[in-house]
Parts: sequence; C-alpha cells; structure tokens
Amino acid sequence: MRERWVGVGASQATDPHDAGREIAQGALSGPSPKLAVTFFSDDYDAAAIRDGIRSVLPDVELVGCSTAGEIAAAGPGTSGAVLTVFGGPGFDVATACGERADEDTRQAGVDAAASLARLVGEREHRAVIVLSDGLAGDQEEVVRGLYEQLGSAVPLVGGCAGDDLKMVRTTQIHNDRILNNAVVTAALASDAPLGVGVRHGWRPVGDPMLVTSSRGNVVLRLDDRPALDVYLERLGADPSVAADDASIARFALTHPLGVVRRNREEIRFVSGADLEQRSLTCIANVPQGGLTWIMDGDDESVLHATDDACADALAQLDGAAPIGFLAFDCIARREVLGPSVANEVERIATHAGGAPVAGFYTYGEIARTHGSRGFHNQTLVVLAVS
Amino acid sequence: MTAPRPEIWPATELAEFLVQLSGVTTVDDVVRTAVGSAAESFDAEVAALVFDGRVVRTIGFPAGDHDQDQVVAACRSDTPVVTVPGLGEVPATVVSLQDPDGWLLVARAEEPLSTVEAGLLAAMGRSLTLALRAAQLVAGERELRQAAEQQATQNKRLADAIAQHAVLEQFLLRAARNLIGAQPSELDRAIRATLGQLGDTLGLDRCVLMTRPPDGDVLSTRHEWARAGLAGFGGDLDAAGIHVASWFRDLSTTQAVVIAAPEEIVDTEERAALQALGIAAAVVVPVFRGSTMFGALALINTQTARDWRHEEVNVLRVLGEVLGSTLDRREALVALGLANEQLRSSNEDLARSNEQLRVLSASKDEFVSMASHELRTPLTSILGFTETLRRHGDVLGEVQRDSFLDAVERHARRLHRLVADLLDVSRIESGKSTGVPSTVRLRDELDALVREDLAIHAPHVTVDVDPDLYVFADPDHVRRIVINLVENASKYGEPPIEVAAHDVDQDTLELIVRDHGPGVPSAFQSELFEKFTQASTGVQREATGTGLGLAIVRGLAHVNGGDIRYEDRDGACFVVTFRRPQAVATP
Repeated sequence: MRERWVGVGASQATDPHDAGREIAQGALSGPSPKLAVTFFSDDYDAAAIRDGIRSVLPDVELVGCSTAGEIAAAGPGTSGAVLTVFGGPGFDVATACGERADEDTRQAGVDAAASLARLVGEREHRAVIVLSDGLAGDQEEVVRGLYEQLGSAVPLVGGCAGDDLKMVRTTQIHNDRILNNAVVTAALASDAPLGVGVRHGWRPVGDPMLVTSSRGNVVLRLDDRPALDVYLERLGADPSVAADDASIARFALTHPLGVVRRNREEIRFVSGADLEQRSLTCIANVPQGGLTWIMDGDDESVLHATDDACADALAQLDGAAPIGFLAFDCIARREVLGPSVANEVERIATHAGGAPVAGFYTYGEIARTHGSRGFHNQTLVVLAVS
Repeated sequence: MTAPRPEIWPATELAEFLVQLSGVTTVDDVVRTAVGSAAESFDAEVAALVFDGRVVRTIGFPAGDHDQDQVVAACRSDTPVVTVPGLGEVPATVVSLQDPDGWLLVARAEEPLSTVEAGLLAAMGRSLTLALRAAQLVAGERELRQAAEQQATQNKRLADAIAQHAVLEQFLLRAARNLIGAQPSELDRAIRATLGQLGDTLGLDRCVLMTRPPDGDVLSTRHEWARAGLAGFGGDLDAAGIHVASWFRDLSTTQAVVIAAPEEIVDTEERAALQALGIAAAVVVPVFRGSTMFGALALINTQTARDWRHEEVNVLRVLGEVLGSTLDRREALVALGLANEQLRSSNEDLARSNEQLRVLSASKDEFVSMASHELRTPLTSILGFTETLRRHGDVLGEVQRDSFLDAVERHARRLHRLVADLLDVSRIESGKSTGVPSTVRLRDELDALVREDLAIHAPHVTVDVDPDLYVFADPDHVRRIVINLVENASKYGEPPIEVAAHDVDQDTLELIVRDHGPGVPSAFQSELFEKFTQASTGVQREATGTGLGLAIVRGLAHVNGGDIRYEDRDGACFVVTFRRPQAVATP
C-alpha cells in the first residue's frame, strides 16, 4: 500500500452537482483519502459542488474556494472545477476556518490557525494551505495572524479566492459550510518533504524613484512630481493611455511598480489612476520615503519564473519525486501571458514529471517559508508534495 | 538593465516601518506594529519587545509563559547569544531602548543581521521610542478628552435633569394652583385637565384616577386621560379584568408601585391581566382622604417599558396628595355650601316673618290707635253732652236740650256702628261669618236699600240694574256690601253715585258702584281693602268713618265666593263679583 497519494479530478460539467461528483471520482485514486481541496468557477453553486463531492467522499476533510480560473494538468480552464485529494497513512490533516475577515482580518487569520497547532510537530514536514477571501481586508494581516499562531516552523502556501474578475464576492468552503469573508485552512503533515516555490519574473528597470508622497496604496508623488506623470514619462507612454481607469489598468498590467525588499522585489500592480490628482492606485502599500522601480516583464520572463518556482519547490524535496503539485497563479500573470498561459501549465506539468497538478488563478498569493512575510502579488506559488 | 544596489533596501524598510508606525496611535498598536514590521523588514522569523523584564509582544513564539528552548528553536539563528532580562539567553540581534527601558529583538534563521541591518534596527528602536512617547501623549490626551467628555456628558445630564425637574415643578405648581383654586363645581374639569397636562409633560399614554367605595375592592375610573387615538378604559376596571385590589394592598404599605416593564411582575395572572389591558409600564400612587385610601393615581405606558425617574414618581405622589386634599376640601365646601344655603333660606324666612310680624304689629298699633280714637271721639262727645245736661239741664231751654240729646244719640249710634263693624271684621277674619246664601233678585234688594237705608245719607244714588239679574249670596251681606260702598262713595267721592250690575258669564255677575270724585290715589290703591286705611283725599271736607268699611266689603265678598277690585273710571269705581245662581228659573 502506498504511504501517500495525491489525486486530481477535473470537470467542465454544466451541472454543479455533476461536476462535484465527477471531480471527486476523478481525484479518488487510492485508499484512505484524508483531505480534499477544491477550486471551482464562481458560476457554480458552491453548495451543489460540495454535495456532489460529498456523494463520493462523505467523510474527508474538505476545503475549497471560488476562482478566477482553474488549473489542471490538462491546462488552464474557466467555468470548471478541480479537486485534489491527499490520501494514505503518510499524511495527517486538519482543517479550520476564520470568519468575518472584513471586520477583523488579523483575527480571522488567528482563528484559521488556532485549531491547526496540534499538527505542528507531529510529523517532520508540514505546510498549511490557505484559501482566503482577498476582497475582505488586508491579506498581509491574515498572514500575520496565521504566523502569530503557527510560528516560523510551518510554511504557508495558498491564494485568495476569485470570482472570475467580477470583484464582488468570493466563496469559501470549509467542510459542509459555504462561507464568505472567510479564511479556510488545511494543515498537511507528512513524513516526506514538502517544497514551496515562489517567483514572479519581473525585473526593475532604470533608476529607482523616491516615493515622496503616498497614502497606503495610493502613490501621490514620485521624485516630488505627480506620480502619474512620472510613471507615464518613464515608460514613454502616450498620454492617451491615461484616459480612464480601465485604460490605465490595461496598460499597467505589463508595467507594475516594484518595491525592493531585503532580498527580493515585490510587485505593486497599478490598478488605476486619479487623473485630477495625477496619482497612481496600487493593489498594496507603497511606503512613503521608500524607493520604487518600474518593473519590466514579458512572456519569457514570466515563464522563466514558472520554471524557477517549480525548481525551487522541487529542490526542497531532497531528491524525492513529486507525487503532486498545487499551483496558485496570479490572474494578472494569466492576462500578461495571454494565449501563452497554456505553456505555463505545460511547464508546471513537465516539472511535476507526471504527478497530478491542480491549482487556480488567484486575487493574491500566499507563500511564507522564512521570515514572517508571506503575501504576494503577480507571482506563482507552487507546493510540491513528495 | 540596472540591478538595485544592495545597500538601498534599508531605506524602503525604514520608510515602511515609519509609515506603519505613523498609522497607529495607541500604545498597544504601536507595540504590535513595531514588532511585526521589524520582523518583516529583516525577513526575520522572530521579533520581540521587552519592557522592564516583561515580554510585551512577540513574533514567532508565544508572548506569555514562553519556553526558553521554544524561543531558541524559533530563532534558528547562528547569531551570537545575547542575554535579555526577562527573556534569557537568545541567539538574536537586539537594540536597547530608553525611556521606557527595554529591548527590541530580532532573530533571522537564514543569516545573522549585518552591521548595516543592526544600524537599521537601532534606528527602528529609536523611532519606536518616539512613537511610544507620542502614543502615551495621545493616550493622556485621549484620557483627558474622555474625562472632559464624561464631564460634559455628566453636565448635560445634570442640565437635562434640572430642566426636566423645572418642567415637573412648573407642572406641579400649575396643577396645584388649578386644583386648589377650582370651585367645587369646576374641580372635575380641573382634574381632567391636570391629568392631560401630566400625560403631555411626561409623554405618556394614559393617566387615570381610580376610586373605590370605602367598603369594596372594585375600582372604577373616576377620571382618565388617554393620548390621542387611544380609547379610554372607562367605567369599572374589575369588569375590564384588572384585579387592582392587590395594588391597593401594596399601596397601603408603600408610597408607590412602580412597574418598569411587564417582565417585572412576578404574579403571572396579574401580569396577564395587565398585558390584556395594554399596560406595559406603570406607576401607581395612593390618593388618601384623611387617613383613608380613597383611590389611586396611575401613569401608564401601553407599548414600551419605561425607566421611571425618581422625580416622576415623586411628582405623582405629590399630585396624589394634592388631589386627596382637594377632594377633601371639595366635600367640606359642598357641605358648607349646603349649610349656608339652608341658613340663608331660613334667614329669608325669618326676615319674611319678621316683616309680616312688623307689618302685623304696625297695623295692630295702627288699629289700636285708630280704634281708640274712633271709640273715644263719640264717647267724649256723649260724656260731654250728658254731663252738661245733668249739671245744667234745668237751665237749658227745651230746644237746646233736644239738640244735646240728638247729639248724644248720634254719637251713640256712631259708636254702635263702629262696634258692629269691629265685630263684623272680627267674625269675617275668624271665619265665623259664613252667611246663608240664597238666590237674590238684585233689583229688589237695591230698590229697598235706596228707599230705606240710603235715603238720608246717600240721596244721590241712581240704580241701573236689570230686574232679571240674580246673585247667589246672603241677602244681608249683599245689602251690607252695597251700603258700605255707597256710604264710602258719599264720603270720599262726588255725586252722582251710580249702582249698576251685569252678568259676566254663566257663573259670575259684576256689581259696580261708581262716583265722579277724584278717585283713589294710585299709591293708596294697593292698601285700599286693608283695615283702618283712609286716604287723604285732599278734598275740603273731613271724611269720617271707621276705616273698616272696604275691609268688611272684601271679607263679605270672599265669604260669598266673590271678590272686589278697584278701577279708575273718571272717579272711583268698585267692582264686586258675585256668583250667579246655578239654575235660575225666570219668574
């Protein structure tokens, strides 16, 4: 009997109950299933998906969330569902959830970690998979809450649920409960190594700019000039791209800002601009007094990051072959790659070496392996299981 | 492509640290933010803040009851071990803080902090100290502001209470003035008005004054006020299902029953009864009259619970006392009013009888004086003539002696007449003169009178009476009436004197005696038929008489079922009514 197994099922069935049943049947590939992790289109009724899964896997711990697109070995999809099942005596699992993240985001993180603590130390290798409502509060706070409870020894990996870019409401599943504004978690403890890789593939170009004025995620002035003007000037952009928010966002998708940290560059996706105030709005804080760069990326660099992330994850498996891959890929990367996104999934599958692959396109990624920080943008996070 | 120079990143980390610290104001938030941000800035697994040997905040291990091995394991650091008071020996980079004294600690598993990073940590420590002081100042200011706000709130509450108190006091003064000043007849209206003012002032649904008879428990609403749109209880409260007897039991030992919410009523039956009546909250106070509980005054909220204020209950109690004493006073006033009325009435009776007595006494005096004068005058004359005759009779001539004897006879007759009149009056007034009525042919009687009795004293009488006229009366009385009236006319009037008669209707006949003199002065007409009344006629002739003639005429007319009245008709005109005989056979 295999000590550990990972199975993935995918479905494009129109009926959510059928889809739930199909993905469960597809993912159930061994005895003693322990944990089921599902990602599904926002078009589906979450309760029906759950019921479909439960019709096949009545007792396993179940977590899941809605997405901005699903990933399976066959390629990237939308309007479908995937399910990953971890099974076998070599795994221990536990699940939890924290609610009302819109009211107290950090506390939701604390609550989502509290009942997982017992797994820490039971087996040598562990990771906590985090599926969070990215539309409800500052996700760095979620990571701080989780870290506060779980400490430095437990890697965090996961992403923020999506709603096919409607940006209205995302759904989380914790066992039989259908939730919003929640953080659901699944702790996976194993006798074999687990690897986490995180890369974005963007490079800083040109000289850094001093953030002379900002308020949270709104950059008012760069080098003591209006931020929008400096940004467009640096990129040699036609002023017409600043006609409206959507136009700016489209242009900025391939030209994010970067904040240089101690050993990495963090991406700050520019989601809009105030044409009156000449300011830029980003999806995370850009500290006043710090430095920022225009970041540059293309298909090649993004796909290169995919290779690097997978390689980093595999490297942590101490030479063991992976038995499954989970990928949390930023929806912005999919937009950058366009049709080439299929190549990215192929590359992940290649790195997986035949092991099943599942994942989803996210509204933000979570990966913490060292230090206490762990929230990312425009990155690919990979969990390799051996 | 230019790669960022490695020494640039601390600027961003410090900026981030400062931005985060500037976003928080409380000491707790500063501590939490500083420790979290310091760990994140250095990609550290562990960060901690220790003040005065006490670990106040940690990242990477629990803050309370930490296990030293656990801390060291969490640090996973190759950093040289330092000793931090309160935390022990840890492989971490630390910076000491001053004012307040403490330690900021960071441990990174990957590699120890470089010298540049240690410098950055020192800068963060300094910033943290400043931020803490700022937060403490803010906290102090916040406390001051909160204290000021509390004070302001308290002041406002006090001002509200004073204002409410003033409103209640004003209400009470007005109510007391209206109730005490009300006339007994206006009191009910004043009570209703007061209940309405109380309801409006306190924003209530009902105000009810209930009463019960001294020997029973059945309550009835004596007066009530209900806010617009709410029907009154009306009538018998027991009939409406309210068993308020228990309220009375409570009220007899307490000064007020206060119900803030229905849940407060323990007795489920009573609670159900009150709820059925739509009483959600109430205050009930007794109304005493003297030492007897006479009723109760109730304030009622129908929908909402109400936290009755002490002043409100007090106002109601005072109002209850005012009402009790006012009702007492009204009863006293009503009793006094009745007594006054009786007294006034009997005073009037007394005054009336006094007046009657006075009039009676005056007329008696007048009678006595008149009678003595009328009696004495002829007696004096008689005595004078008889004495002269006895002393000097022998010297008087026969003619003179006869003249004196005539005078004696005349005065004796006058005296006789007077005594007869007095006797008649006395008989008539005592009801003894009833007469014997019969059918009298008037013309016959009158003709005889003119022929016999009136020939001398009243020669100018003309009789114009139809021979077919009859009266039903005592014939002697008829004669006396006519004689008196004709003599009266001769004395006070002028000739000719006419006697006439005619039938008025089937039952009545009128006899008229009329002269052509000056008539009776109008001021005297009302007393014309009283005894001893004679008007000064102003005529140059002394009228003599008993003053009893018209009184006798009226008395006789009454005795025979008739009456007499006076009319001015170019002279005095007396009209006597007689009964006609019921079936007169024409002779």
